Amino acid sequence: MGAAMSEPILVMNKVGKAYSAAVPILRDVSFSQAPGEFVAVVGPSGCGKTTMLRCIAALMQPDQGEVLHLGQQFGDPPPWLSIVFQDYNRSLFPWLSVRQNVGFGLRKIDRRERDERVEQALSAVNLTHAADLYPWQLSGGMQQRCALARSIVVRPQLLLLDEPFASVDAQTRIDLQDMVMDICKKMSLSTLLVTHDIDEAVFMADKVVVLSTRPAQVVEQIEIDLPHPRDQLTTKESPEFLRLRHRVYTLVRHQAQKSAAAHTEREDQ
Amino acid sequence: MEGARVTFRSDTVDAPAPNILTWLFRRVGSLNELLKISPRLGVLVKGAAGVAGAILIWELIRALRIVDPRDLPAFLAIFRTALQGLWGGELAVAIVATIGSWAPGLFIAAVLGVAAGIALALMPRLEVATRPLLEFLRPIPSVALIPVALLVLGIGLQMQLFMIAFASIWPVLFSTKAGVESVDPRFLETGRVLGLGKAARMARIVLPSTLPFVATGLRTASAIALVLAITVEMLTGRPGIGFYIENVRLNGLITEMWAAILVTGVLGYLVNALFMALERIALPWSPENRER
Repeated sequence: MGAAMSEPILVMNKVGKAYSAAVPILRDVSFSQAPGEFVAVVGPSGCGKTTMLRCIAALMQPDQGEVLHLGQQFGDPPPWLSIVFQDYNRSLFPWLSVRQNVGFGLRKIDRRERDERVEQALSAVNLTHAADLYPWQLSGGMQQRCALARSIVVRPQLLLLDEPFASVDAQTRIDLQDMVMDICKKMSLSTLLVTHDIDEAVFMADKVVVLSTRPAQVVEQIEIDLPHPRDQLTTKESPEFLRLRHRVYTLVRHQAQKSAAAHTEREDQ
Repeated sequence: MEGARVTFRSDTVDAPAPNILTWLFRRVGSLNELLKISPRLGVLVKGAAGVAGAILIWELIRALRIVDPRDLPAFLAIFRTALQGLWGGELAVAIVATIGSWAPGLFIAAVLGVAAGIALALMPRLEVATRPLLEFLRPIPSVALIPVALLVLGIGLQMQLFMIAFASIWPVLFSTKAGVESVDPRFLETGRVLGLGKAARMARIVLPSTLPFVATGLRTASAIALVLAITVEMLTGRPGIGFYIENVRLNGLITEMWAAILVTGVLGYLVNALFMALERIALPWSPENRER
């Protein structure tokens, strides 16, 4: 029991990926995630965060290293994992209603149980009233909630969030952050959030993994020991939050500057 | 219902009408309001105005004798003849015959076009191998193949169906192929993450997202099929509206000829309207059919 508890839900062990020899994306990316832990991955834009996520989801196989789930390797996208993509309008199916979209991944189970779980997921993201509409009839925030419901309805152990709040307005983003934190805590989900928003990472996560510029390596892992539940006002005003935010921000900015310098160098040649 | 009626009455009866000009302004004003409230009605009214204008120009050409009036009967005469022909006349028989070859010809084109479009989109090697052939066949005017079809298949339904299907398969084929090729890869990734195998992704993602493309291809093909059905009838004497037009022309029945042409135009319009309506009903989610 004790051993099983300590087995990480996800281990990245020196994962490397290159689209070609000249374009390495990931190099020796290593970190691990405990069950129920909320990990946020930040890094300069274009550093390979999304590629890393695709390797974790087995949408892509890494060239080097291994991705382990409870100590095991895996091939195709496994059933214990689900993803919310940034561009909800490209991942929700326009020919299905909100309810049908949410139930899309639930097959081969009893119809009644299926309906029940879809209703639960819809109510968890506050979309019961819009269940029979098409996703394109909804606002961006509602569409992203629909995508979130579709991901949690399959009861994954690990939820991957690929910049899920990047395409919505500021107020909606805040509401979505609270909703996601709430759902992940209630379901004791392990969550891996990829974001370029440092405030968001520090505010939501238990651990922030800072990636370097391309090829991405882990620069530092920072434990975020802010108390739960977290509040958009009080947590973000606390000295501890500001200290952590300062630290992560400095690391990312340093990487971004290195990246900019590299770009100028390349353009000079 | 009753309330609306009362308002209406008070509006017309109680309204002060000092002179005809204010009354006219009121009328025009309310018509404008009506058109604004219902844009669909506005479209209808404007379309009707266009048709009325065309009839007016027709009558003007007759009155000014730009064309010999014997070749250009009065519109009303044409219209009356068309109605008579449709009401149990020869024209009705001809239309039924034309539709009788148009529909199966289009059906063949649809089945083969969709199948070939999907196959070409999914099998890049097949696509590369057949590309020169298709690019060679496609631009050939179908009418130019009629002599060949006559030689090989002779005069008959078989030959007519071949011509209709050959001409109308292209929009279906290329539209379907484009549809399959343009399926958003993110849709497919979403399917993979949700545990769909290759066949399930095909049936539940590729197919539905291709349907609007198929519908557009079919609508284009339906018009082409009609053109070919009528052309073959004219050239080979197959029964139908094409043959009817040619026949009455040879017999100097000019009003009957124009009546048949008018009916053909209306038929084309209705076929297009039918396919658009089917699209709206079957694919309410497709970007073309979404509300606003």
